[in-house]
Amino acid sequence: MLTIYLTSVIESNTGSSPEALELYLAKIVEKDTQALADLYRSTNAAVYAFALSILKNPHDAEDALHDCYVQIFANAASYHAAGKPMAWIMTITRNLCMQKFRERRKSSDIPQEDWDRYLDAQEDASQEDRLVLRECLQQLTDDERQIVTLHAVNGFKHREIAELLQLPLPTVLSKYHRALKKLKKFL
Amino acid sequence: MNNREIKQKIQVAFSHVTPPDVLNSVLSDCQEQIVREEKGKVFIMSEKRTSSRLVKWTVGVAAALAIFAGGGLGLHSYQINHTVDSIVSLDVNPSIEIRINQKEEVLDVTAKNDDARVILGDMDFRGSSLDVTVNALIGSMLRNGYLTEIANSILVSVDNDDPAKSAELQQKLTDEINQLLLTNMFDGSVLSQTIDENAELQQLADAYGITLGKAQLIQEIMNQDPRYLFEDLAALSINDLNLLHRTGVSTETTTSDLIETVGDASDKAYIGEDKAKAAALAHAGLSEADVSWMKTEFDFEDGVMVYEIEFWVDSYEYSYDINATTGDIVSYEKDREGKAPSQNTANSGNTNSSSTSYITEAEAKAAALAHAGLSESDVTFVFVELDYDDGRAEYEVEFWAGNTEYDYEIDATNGTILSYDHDAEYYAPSQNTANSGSLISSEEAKSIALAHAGVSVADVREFECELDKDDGYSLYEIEFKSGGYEYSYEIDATNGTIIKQEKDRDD
Repeated sequence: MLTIYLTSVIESNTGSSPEALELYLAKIVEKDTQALADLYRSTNAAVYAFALSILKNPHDAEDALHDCYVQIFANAASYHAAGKPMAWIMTITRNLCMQKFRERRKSSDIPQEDWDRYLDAQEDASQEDRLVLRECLQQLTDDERQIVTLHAVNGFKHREIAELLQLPLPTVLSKYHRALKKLKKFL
Repeated sequence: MNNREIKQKIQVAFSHVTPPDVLNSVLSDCQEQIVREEKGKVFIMSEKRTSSRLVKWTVGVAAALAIFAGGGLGLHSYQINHTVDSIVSLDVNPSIEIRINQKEEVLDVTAKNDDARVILGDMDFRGSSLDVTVNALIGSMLRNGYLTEIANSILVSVDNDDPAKSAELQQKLTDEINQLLLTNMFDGSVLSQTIDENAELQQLADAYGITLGKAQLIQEIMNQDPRYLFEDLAALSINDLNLLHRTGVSTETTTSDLIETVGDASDKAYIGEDKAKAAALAHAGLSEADVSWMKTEFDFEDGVMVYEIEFWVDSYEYSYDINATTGDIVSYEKDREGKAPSQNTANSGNTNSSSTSYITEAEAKAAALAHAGLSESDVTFVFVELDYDDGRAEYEVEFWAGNTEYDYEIDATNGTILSYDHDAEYYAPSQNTANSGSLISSEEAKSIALAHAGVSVADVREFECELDKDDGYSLYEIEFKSGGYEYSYEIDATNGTIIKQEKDRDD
């Protein structure tokens, strides 16, 4: 019961209806900052989780989160209402993350101690949550982690993930299953 | 632990990560954006007023050139370092090489082919800054129709003795070009790389009159697929090379660390995957519902871009090469030895070497479909895999029908359904739920769930039922145990529709 209850809490957290998000975007085209704030509040958890799963670095993910909404504000006019605002937002997020990736290519990922400190600072996270996050970051390849986050956290269908990441559907599926199998060993 | 439980754990864990609050700084940046646009009305307004991308570019380029002219006047007021520090090359189809000094000022710009001469025209960039030059060149490529919707790829290569400097410059240029394309709403694809000095490759590049950067991209593609000839690839545009490179990367034989890609290569010059698939299926006399697995990729065969299409029907593997421009069938093959890629068990045919005999994937699939009351043609994608869980061999079967995802675990020795899960993704809840008078009772919800599970009240243990109104609609969440299984249901409280159902071993 507990898990199901939590699931619905999360869905309400990240999942404003596409119509509502498109309404915000339409107002953002008119440079309505209030609408941007509304959009931010209903989507920031999803954007941050995805950025974190790509970048594996909380500071960079924070930058990506910030830049994402600035870009949305600048480019809302280029969104063609097609009922998939989240896919558009996630594409922007991913592109920003890829830029960040290249920026810090020289430096390595943040050390494990920093991760542990970051995870320990997450007051809402239980011991198990921390274990799950740590294993997601440690055991999965970049592709696997992105696919798992998009599906499990953001509720994207595999088909939509394939579109977003520009991978063939069978690749997405096999990577998803491989990722869960890996995690199974550790959780 | 099954996949669904892991998925839920991940979902919960991520939901407990608190995102940093950056809203205020976002809003202040956006405010600045508004102010800047007010001030820069000359640029922005002219962009808004015209709908033609090319006119926009002309304005941008004119402005860029004006800046350059200004810079040119001051040329003699400071010392110019004449030593070449880095070589930057831009390849679209025009191939241009820019040599710069340490201050990132242009020493010279060379056209490496005829197209590049068109682009350069009589522009003289000596002494201007690298970014102004790149701006102007890319603008010119757009105006002259080299960067278009059907060929949107740019390759940026940076060569500096210091790898850190190269990487920094690569990053800077990529960002700049992306920003340029983004603000002009051009859906481009930017490939970037740093050059590894290589005398042999340089010779090849010179022989074919291409930049070292393009030669390195070609080499990378040849590493992914050794069947290609350098000679053939040298004649292709960067956009086609980008399409081939993507194929190589997505088949995951190698992951390219050399080349960074932002955006996707345009395939609009070609017939598109769907038409190519249809051509192959039509030739084979099959419909998409007949095939269990399908793969489409770009390939380059005998001097033409082709779609390489592979699919499986039973134990036959079909492969087709479809001319990407005309849709003609270039070659095809039907192979009995083929086996679907998800099949990681033994070879084709009958292998009785293993001590225990398992049911086949097809049988596992059939069992799941029968249970779901669906036929092969109802489902869009089927995933079957033999897995070992809790010390027993089981098939994981997954497929979609409409908006519903079905997951099954099936005992591989006897075909028993061990657990299943139907999940209507994006179930659109019925409206007007504010009025609680219209809700079904928890007793009704319970009987719907029990009836579906085929379990009588007497056999039920640990029954729980909760009405949840969190998501703006009302649903009953029901969990119970019976006969070694754990069941969970979500039922729409307004009309009794089963939204989610799950049955799992109680362990």
